[in-house]
Amino acid sequence: MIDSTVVGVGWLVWPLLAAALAQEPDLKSLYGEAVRLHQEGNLAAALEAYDRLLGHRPDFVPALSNSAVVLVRMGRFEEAIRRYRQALTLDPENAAIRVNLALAHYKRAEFRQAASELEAVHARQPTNRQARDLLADCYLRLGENRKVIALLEGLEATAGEDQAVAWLLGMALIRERELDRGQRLLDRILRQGETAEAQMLIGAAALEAADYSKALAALKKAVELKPDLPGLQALYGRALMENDDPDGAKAAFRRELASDPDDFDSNLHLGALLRMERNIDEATPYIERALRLRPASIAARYQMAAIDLTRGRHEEACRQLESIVAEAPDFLEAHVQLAAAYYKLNRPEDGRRQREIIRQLSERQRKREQQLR
Amino acid sequence: MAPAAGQIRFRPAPIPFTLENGETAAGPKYTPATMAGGLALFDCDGDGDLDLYFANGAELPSLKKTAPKYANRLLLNDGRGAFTDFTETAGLAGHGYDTGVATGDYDNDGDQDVFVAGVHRNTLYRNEGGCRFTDVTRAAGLEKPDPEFGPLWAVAGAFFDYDNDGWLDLFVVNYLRWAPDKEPLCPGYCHPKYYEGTPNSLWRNNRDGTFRDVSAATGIRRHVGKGMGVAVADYDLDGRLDLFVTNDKAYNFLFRNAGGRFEERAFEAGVALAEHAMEISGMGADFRDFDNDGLPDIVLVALENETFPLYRNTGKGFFAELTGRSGLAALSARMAGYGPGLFDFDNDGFKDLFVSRGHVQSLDMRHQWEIEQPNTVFRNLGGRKVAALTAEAGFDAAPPRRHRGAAFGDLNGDGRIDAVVSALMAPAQIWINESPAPHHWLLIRLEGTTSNRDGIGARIRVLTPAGSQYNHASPSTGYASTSAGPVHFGLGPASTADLVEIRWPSGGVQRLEGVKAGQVLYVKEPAEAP
Repeated sequence: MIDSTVVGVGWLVWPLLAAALAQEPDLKSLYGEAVRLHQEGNLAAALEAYDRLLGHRPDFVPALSNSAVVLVRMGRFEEAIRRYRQALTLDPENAAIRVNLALAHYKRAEFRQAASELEAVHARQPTNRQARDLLADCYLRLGENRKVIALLEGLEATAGEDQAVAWLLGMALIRERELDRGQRLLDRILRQGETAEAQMLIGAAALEAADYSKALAALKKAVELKPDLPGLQALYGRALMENDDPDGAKAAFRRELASDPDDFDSNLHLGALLRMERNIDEATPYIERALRLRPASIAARYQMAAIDLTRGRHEEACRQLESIVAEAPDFLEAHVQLAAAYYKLNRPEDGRRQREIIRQLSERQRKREQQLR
Repeated sequence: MAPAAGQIRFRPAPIPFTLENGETAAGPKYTPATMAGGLALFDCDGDGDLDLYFANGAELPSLKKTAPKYANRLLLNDGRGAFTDFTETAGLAGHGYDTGVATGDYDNDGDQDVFVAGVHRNTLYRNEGGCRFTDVTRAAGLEKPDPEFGPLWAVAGAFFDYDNDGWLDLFVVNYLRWAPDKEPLCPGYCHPKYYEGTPNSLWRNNRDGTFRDVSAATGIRRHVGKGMGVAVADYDLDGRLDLFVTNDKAYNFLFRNAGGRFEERAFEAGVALAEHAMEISGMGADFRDFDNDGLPDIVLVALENETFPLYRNTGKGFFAELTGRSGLAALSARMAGYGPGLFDFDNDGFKDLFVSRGHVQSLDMRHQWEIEQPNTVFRNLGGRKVAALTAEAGFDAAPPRRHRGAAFGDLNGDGRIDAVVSALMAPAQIWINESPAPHHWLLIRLEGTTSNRDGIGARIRVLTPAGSQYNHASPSTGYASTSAGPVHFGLGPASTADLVEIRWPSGGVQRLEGVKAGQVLYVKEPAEAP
């Protein structure tokens, strides 16, 4: 589990303030008391102590930062983020605080904002492994696989020694269908024994290669070895889905979401499965969450448009589908839904146009598949 | 306890046919095995009762009938519902992997010919009289592989006269592009997404015993799908027969006959997708007037969670989906169906919906799906609502199966429509209709003169004190099957139909008044329209 770190007493980092505090023994002992309470896990009392201190010295960065850490642990992310930002205004070069700010965003599934902070840290401290790996993880969650590859490929030759790097880079390569490179990383992980991580990578690669039986076998093994591996249940769910087991898939997605409610894939696929079962009320919040996680995701927008169409919100569905097909003109299913939406909206000319696009697209896809075969 | 009046009841009767689909428990799964099972009820020997013909599978992957168990089977009816095997004499045993059956008098000689749809091989049998057949596939010009797709996998056929020239043409529903050496590896039978779709075919009758391929010229070939079922009706009442084609996990086709060309209108008409804008696993279909408003409605069946969509024809070129409002969505949500049939099983004046049920998947997927299912009849409650009857209709008297094709007709002359259902690797079932309601009925046997001899496409209105009801001669119904008996009407308490009005495909209208119930009424098309 990725967690924020207490910056520490900071006595030496902010010497002038420390000197000021040194002249105010009450404040110094108050800060010491706050840190002690914090380290003991007495969060409410620690926060109160930090706040009292900040009442006297609102510009004392360690108190701002540490109180933000406490707020994160209390689940009060917005306040935490505010304090981290305040701290960074005072000390913009402080990488530890920026990483903690990124972590707060990460925990709120604000991967874009988290990545932005981490990019700043990585630019200044390219050797900061925590920032680098977390940044790669954010990119992966945002579906920005190419960025993961660009970030980590310098380490590809030695990635087997660092399982985290091997895993992140391997996943990105597999998703980008660079299966050979992904496989090489996988082999390196496998040399270290049959681990859940390795089986997960094998499963992910097999999923991308549309070898669904192999994917299911590997992911099942991974689940047996380490069921709570982040992202594993989501992949297992996809494999079950592809192996015609929607009930099993739904259960796997739900397990993933129990440990990580912000897993994009699980939200998207669980929502899609429920929608296909006509369980629209239950499907909707999952799709909405997927959309919050990745507002630009075409798959999530498509599912929401389909829900809108079902609910009779034809105008909304139409707008969304029009923007989807503008971005992804080969997305056949979106054209099918858009044609249906146009006819519902009594726009037969537009409907006919879509109908012809569907026919041409089907024909093109068929010919392409024929060539592949 | 005696069933309540208005109930629909069936009793199973044995029939000596087992559908051999070539499936093995341990071996690889070849998709044709789960799509077998078409059958026909038709009068093969012209004696007035309905005989039975079952298409059968073959060894897989060779697609050859390597053992007698794979023979298609023709069973002659003695008129009281007892059947005798007549396959060898009839010459209908077949050669390949056969899936669907369509019957019709394509040469207008007064007897029923047989088209067998199969995997990479279709067969046309000409009835030489007395239920003795000759394979005329090559001579008729039907043996040509598709120039682009090669040999096609045909699931079903439908004889109908698309150009109203008095001769039956042939529509063939084609499913997937399939080759045994390219069968993907899946835990059970593979999803259709793993296969390329194929276009359907339309063959025009040259009136000389041959057919020519007009699929491209009529616009049919432009639309590539994964066809499973076809149902025929004149939905816009313009005097030309239209086609509804279901596709497996793809949008349906509604081919509107625009006179020489077909326009695909499923989206415009609102029948491309199921409720909730879903592409579903369309299986069989029927296309008849469900609510007695004179406009043919559409029903199709699909798999679990997909429902059995019912579309009401609004008469303005558009259909409104009734699936949810009729109760059919909720009732069918956990069902998988193959062969639907809209027939009035309790003779109350409204057509009910029979569905042969079973899952597409193999038996080794039992842990995930309810693979074997009982059949169900949905009783029509006045054209707007339905009630599902399974055990209530007696279907629990036989074990659940992977039911496939279904054909309908009065097998024992009691005026109640019976059903025959095939099932994979299991004996077929006859379901004798023993619905208790003392309702009257009328069966109308047509003979066209200017129109095609079978009168396919003729629209019939029957008027009783309860109002009008409508049906049309259209034998291709359900999944890969044909129900070529006389056109049936339940008259409820009316012992006489005040009016029987027949609109022949030629355009002629014939009116018969004061027609007594309880008979098979033979009606010949007048030479000149009266």
